[in-house]
Formats: sequence, C-alpha cells, structure tokens
Amino acid sequence: MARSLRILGQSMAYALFAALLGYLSVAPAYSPIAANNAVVTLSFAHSGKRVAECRTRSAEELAALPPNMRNPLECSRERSPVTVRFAVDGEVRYERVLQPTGFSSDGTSYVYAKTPLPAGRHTVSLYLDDDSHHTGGVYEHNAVVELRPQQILVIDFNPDTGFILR
Amino acid sequence: MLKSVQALPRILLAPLQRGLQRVFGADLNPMYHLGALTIFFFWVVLVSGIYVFVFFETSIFGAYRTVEYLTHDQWYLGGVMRSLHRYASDAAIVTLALHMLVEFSAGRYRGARWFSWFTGIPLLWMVFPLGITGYWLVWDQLAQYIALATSELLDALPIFTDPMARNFLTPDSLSDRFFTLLAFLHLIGIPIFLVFGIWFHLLRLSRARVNPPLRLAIGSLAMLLALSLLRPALSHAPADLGIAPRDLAFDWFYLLPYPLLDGGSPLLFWAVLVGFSMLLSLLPLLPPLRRAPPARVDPGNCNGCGRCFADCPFSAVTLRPRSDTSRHPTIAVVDPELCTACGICAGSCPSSTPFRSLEQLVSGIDMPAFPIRDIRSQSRIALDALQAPVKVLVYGCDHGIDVHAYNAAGVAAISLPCTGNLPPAFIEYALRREGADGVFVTGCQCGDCFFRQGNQWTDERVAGVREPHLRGNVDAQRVHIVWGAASDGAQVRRELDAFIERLRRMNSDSQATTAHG
Ligand code: HEM
Repeated sequence: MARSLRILGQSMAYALFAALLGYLSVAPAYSPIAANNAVVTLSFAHSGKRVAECRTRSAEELAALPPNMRNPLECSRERSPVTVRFAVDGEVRYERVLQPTGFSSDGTSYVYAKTPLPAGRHTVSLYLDDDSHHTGGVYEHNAVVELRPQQILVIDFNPDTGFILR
Repeated sequence: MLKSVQALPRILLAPLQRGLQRVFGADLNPMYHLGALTIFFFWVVLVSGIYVFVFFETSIFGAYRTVEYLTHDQWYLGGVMRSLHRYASDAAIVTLALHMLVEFSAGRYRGARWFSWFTGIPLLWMVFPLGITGYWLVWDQLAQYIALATSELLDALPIFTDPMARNFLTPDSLSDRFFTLLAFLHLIGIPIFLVFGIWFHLLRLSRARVNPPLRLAIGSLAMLLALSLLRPALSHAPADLGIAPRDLAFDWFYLLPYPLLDGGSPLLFWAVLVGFSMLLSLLPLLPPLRRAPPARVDPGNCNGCGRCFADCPFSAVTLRPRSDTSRHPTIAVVDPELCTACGICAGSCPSSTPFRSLEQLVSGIDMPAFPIRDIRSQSRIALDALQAPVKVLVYGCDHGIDVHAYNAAGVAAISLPCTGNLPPAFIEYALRREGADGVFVTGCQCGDCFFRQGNQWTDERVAGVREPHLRGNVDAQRVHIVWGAASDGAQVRRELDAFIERLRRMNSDSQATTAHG
C-alpha cells in the first residue's frame, strides 16, 4: 500500500479509536432514577433497650470479686432487637426486625433502605419498637410530604426526638 | 468445543486485525502490542495524574474546586492533563479487553502458560477500582452516584457493621477523613499493587514487550492529545446530597457494571463478578492442555554456551554449574513446569547441526516429540521424493499457515512446533547437501508468534545477527522467509509460487552460463 494511503489509513484508525473513547466515556447518559421520581432514604443507627434490668450486687458478692472488678451494678449487655416499619400511602415499603450487632448482641442496630417514589404528595408512616418486653419504647410518626422530582428525603431517628425528616 | 469458543473472538476480531495490518503493517499492528499499549496508556495516566495531583486538594469541597480550576482556568495544560488522564485510562480498558480476547483466542493461556493468564485476573480487580475511585475523587454528581452505589455494594458484604452508605446521607455526614482514605487508595494504594501485579504478570516471560514500538506510542499519544483538546474532560455539577442525580455523562468503560446493580441485588452483582473471575481463573484447565514433553538436555552434547538460555521465551532454561567430569563449567537445565515445548532452544543449539556425521544425531538440547534427527531425516526423505525440476523445501510452524497444503511435485513441506525450532544450518544443509533449489520459511505473523519470539529469532539467525547464524556461503536468493497468520494461506502461496518461478529462472540462467562456459 502506498505510504500516503497507509498514513491516511492510520489516521483514520486513530480517529476511530478517539471517537470511541470520546463517545463511550460520556455517553449514552445514564439516569439511575426515573424522570419524575424522588428518593426516600430511611437510615439511622439506634441501640435497642437492654434486655434485662441491672441488678445491684450484695456486699458478699462484691467482696468475692477481684478489687478492680467490684462494680456494684451487674448488667446484662444484651440489647433488644429493633423493629422498624416504614409505609408510604398505606403500603409497607420496609419492615425488619434488626438484631443488635456485636458478639454479645450489645451493639447498635443499623438501618439503610432506599425507596424511589413518584414526586408529589405522600403520607409517610413510621414505626419503631426497641424494647423486646414491650414496656414502652414504641415510636410512631405520620407525616405528609410533598416530594419534588429528584429530591432525596432522608428519614433519621433519634430516641430523644423520634423520627426526623430532612 | 474449546476450539469453537476460541474461534468466536477470533472471527469477530479478524476484520479489525486485517484492517489494522493493512494500514499499520505487521511491525506496527496494534493488535500485536496490546499488553505493551496498555502499559503505555498507564504511563500517560501516571504522568498526567501527577500533574493533576500537584493542584488537587484532597478535601470534599477543595477537590471539586481544584479540578474545575484545572479544567477551565488552566485548560491549556491542567485541562489537557486531566483529559489525558481520563482518556488514557479509557484507552487502557480497550486495549486490556482486546489483550485478553487475543490471548484467549490464540490459545496462549494454557499449559505452562497458565501463569500469565492467572496473574492477569487480579489486574482486573485493580484497574477497575482505580478508575472508579478516580471518578469518585472529583466529587461532582457522578461521584455522588458512584459513592452511594459503591457503598451500597460494599454494605451487602459482611465488612462494616455501620453501613458505609451512611457517610453519604447528608452534607454533615461527609468527612474529609473518608476522602483522604479514598485519595490514598487512588493515588498510592491501588497503583502500587498494580505495578507489582504487572511485574508478577510478566515474571515468567523473558523479554516481555512492555513498550510498544515508538511510532505506535507517538501516534497513540497524539491521538489522546487531539481528543483532549477537542473534547476536554468535564465535571458534572458539584455533588448535592439532597438531589438524586440524573442524566449522568457516564464512562461506560469503567462504570458498565453499575447500571446492572441498579436493576438487581448487590449480592447477585458480587456473585456475577466473583463467578466470572473464577471462570476466568479456571479457563486454562477447561480442559487442561495435553502438553508435549518438555525439552531435554543431553549432558554429553551440551557445552553450556547459553544460547538456549538466551533464546527461551519463557525463561524455562537456566545455566547451572556442572557436577560431572565435563570440561565445560555450566550446563543448561530445563524447568519442565515452564517449558512450552516450542523447540526454540533446540533451534538455538550449536550442536543441532545436520552436517554432523553421526548416525544418531543428538543435540545438546532437544525436543523428545520431534527431535532434530527426525527433522533431518524427514527433510531428506521429503526432498528425495520430489520429482519436479525445481525442488523447494518449505519449513512452517504448527500455529501459522498449514504448510502441508503446499506439498506438490516440486514442494515438500515440514511443519515444526515453532519456526524458531529450525536450526539455520538446516537451510544450508537442504541447499548444499540434499539438492534443494530453494528453502522457503514461514510461520506465525511477525510480532504475533505463538511462542512469542520464534519468528524474530529466525529472522535474526538468517540475517546473521544472532547465533547460531546462517553461514555466508548460502546463496541468499535461494532462501525466502514470509510470515503470515493461519488465514494468510493464499497470499503466502502466491509468494511461494513467485519464489519457485524466480528459482526456475535462476536455474536456467546458471545452466545457460555453464553451457556457454
Ligand atoms: C493491567 C493489565 C495488563 C497488562 C498491562 C498486561 C500486559 C501484558 C504484557 C506486556 C504481556 C507480554 C506480551 C509479550 O511480551 O509477549 C502480557 C502477556 C499476557 N497477558 Fe497480559 N496484561 C494485562 C492483563 C491481562 C489479563 C487481564 C489477562 C487475562 C486474564 C492477561 C493475559 C495475558 C497472557 C495469557 C499473556 C501471554 C503469556 C504468554 O505469551 O505466554 N493479561 N500481558
């Protein structure tokens, strides 16, 4: 093949490669959520109530312990699982009984759940129970939210204030 | 079954391969330099990355700002460097994918060669995270998507108790420390592993081609530069954790798996990824290659000259001190695990000469399946059987054109495991001793030798620049070398016919001269 033709051919090959790189590095565009959707993310960290009340040790019991371990309260470390329910417009979207983390089941329970929702007005109902003895420890929250397209609504939880929508 | 699976990528790549061969020629055909081109693109990534890093601020808001500064205020250098960094990374994925397909379809991954294949797989697990963390560092909307999607993927594995995705819930959950960790991974952690990984990948190859030909490197760099100037790499809007991004300008080279994730479960995603890697790892065993017996050293004929050591493409031959009574200090030793039975060592051995008048020709290093003495006897028998006035002996290889198809009244063909298996003295022997009018040598396409270096060594031995060389008393016009892929049979046949025609003219010219004399 003539030199000039070869050079032309090589330039075309490079141009095609460049076109492939230039195109596929930015296109076709990708949309992780549908056009009119918003996202509700339910996520928080929360420790359930302790399963057993702490017990006060008697003087004899304390004396039997090594001096550095004489804690007057004996507490079981195990925590209750946390039950979480999340419904939108009456339809349950997330419902779990979250076991406490850690070897001694004494750790925090974590929630992370994402739900896409069409933009517009929705009723959000939330429920949390962190006490396996069911002596209180139930949190409930209902709210009407107006979601914009692409909005991310985060639902957090804090035992002092209950559910927080932001 | 395996043959047809291997044929599929070969058939798909054939038009590309042929097209590039026509315009680049055999020497520069990028398809023969895919591993080296991948390394070259990583060099470009490294140099451009260092430049970008000089200006880069590894904090959440600083990152976006500094990349924007480079892209817009310093577009002529910083912007070009950023674009080079992106496009060279993408180009590396293209050449890497082709590299895998080519090695697979050529069957260069089984038997003793499993190691390069196997050690290539972890490189995939480094290259993709390298690119993904790179996009993450920009902290724009694409980065935000990658951050959340990757975290959700990792959260599906029992690694963290506190889900990683919770770092990206709201602006106040973001931390610069996390960002520093990410920058460490992208800038130092993964690159270091990658460099070691590539070194390991090439460990069993001698003279691995780690650099593409200069002209190919210059052309590729010019292409990347032109693309960087024409379509500079840009960021999306800055990340905003309150807004779910849409219409992302997506880098499909690195991010292709993510959309699959959005449609399915993260565990399925990991299962597919791990399953695919395991399948790739097992590929050299599906089914295991029936290996020809490895090269064998004959201590009585080995003088420890080291040519086999120098020529073995797979570092299977070493020189060790001798323990016998020989006056030579060293002897060649073959590691059977590394030997691919190509026979290049036998072709390089100075004792592999057919002129030796031994009844049982024994070479210092030889292939038990097709020893030098069999090549000699087959050459003799084949030439003896030729009837035509012009007699041509063709030496080919089992991985190039099927030379047996050329057998004819005046043509006798012998196929060797690799053309590099042919000691050059055989050419002289056929011409001067056995009455051949010409010797025609062919084998895999230049630069694409199945055993990596067989055709290069043959060229150099015949040209007299590599030992053992073809002696000067051979009429160079009666030796013709043509390299070609298995599919180039017709083209090579035309060359053979033209060669025979030339020999016929040479013969009649010399007869005329003799008659006149
Ligand atoms: C970062 C990515 C990679 C780079 C830079 C790279 C580079 C190279 C280079 C330079 C060679 C030597 C070529 C020669 O001199 O003949 C090579 C050979 C090879 N590579 Fe890769 N490679 C990469 C990934 C892979 C992957 C992912 C696979 C397959 C899973 C693979 C399979 C092979 C095989 C089978 C050989 C040939 C070994 C032989 O001829 O026996 N490589 N690679």
